[in-house]
Amino acid sequence: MLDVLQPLAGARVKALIAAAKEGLLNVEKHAQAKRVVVTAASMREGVAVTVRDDGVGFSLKPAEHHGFGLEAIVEALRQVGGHLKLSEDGDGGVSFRAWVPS
Amino acid sequence: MGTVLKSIVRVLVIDDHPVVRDGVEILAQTCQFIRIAGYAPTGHEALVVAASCMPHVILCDLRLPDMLAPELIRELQRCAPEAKIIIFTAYPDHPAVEAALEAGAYGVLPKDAVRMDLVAAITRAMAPESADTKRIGSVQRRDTQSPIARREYDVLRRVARGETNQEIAESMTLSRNTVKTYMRNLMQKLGARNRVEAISRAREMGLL
Repeated sequence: MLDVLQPLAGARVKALIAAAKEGLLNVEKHAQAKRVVVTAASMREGVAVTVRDDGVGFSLKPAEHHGFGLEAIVEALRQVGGHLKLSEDGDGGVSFRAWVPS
Repeated sequence: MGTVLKSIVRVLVIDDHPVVRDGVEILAQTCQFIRIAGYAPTGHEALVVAASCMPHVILCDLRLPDMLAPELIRELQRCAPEAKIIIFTAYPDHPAVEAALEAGAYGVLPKDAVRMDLVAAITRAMAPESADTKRIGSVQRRDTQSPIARREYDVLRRVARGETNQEIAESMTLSRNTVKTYMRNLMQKLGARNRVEAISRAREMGLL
């Protein structure tokens, strides 16, 4: 946790926790990572939870990255006004960031 | 030295440990010209208190529950522009000290300073001739480690918060290549191979 977070409604907290679990599951299944860090921080009038790994990035088949689990997370976040952002930063690894408004 | 202060020095203590405030209060009680004007356990409270208690000197912990000293120092300079900010830390060789000084802190004072050091530090901060004497107290740095520059530290914080290079570039008005350069320098200074390792190293070092 990088700063004091604004209190969030239960449904939003649940959506973030589910997202973090899915993010970690994806790392375990696909990333071949040595390290993973999970951070929570205030971001743009809301809270972002980011799961970042130092694995192989998006080199796997796209289908493997867009399973039901991920779709369910995108939907759960959308229902509470949030969203998911997946990105690569050029030095390997994936950043999986779930954001909900506070 | 014999610096004589003509009036009361109002001191704001920012530290999440009440024992530090109490300690400073006791030290200050024995000195006629130092008065604890305010206390704040968090950065956000400090900004409110600083604006109202008009401190001459701010003793600020390096690590607070909600903000890090470099960020807080920049904000404090806006709401209490006259105040001299002294980093009061148990770890004067901490890499974040450099970032705090770059952010505008006047000096660094180890928390194990005895009363005379504290009084001397406050006196010196208030003395007009000390305007260009950047550092007070005894600051020892690790020779083997290059200090992390303020912009690099900003990038590190943002990376740890989950921002992408593109987002960092936009919010800091930098090119993506510059962000990458800062990140590369950071990884080198932290002895990390990638940004995940950089975040976890920085965390271990108490930088985040």
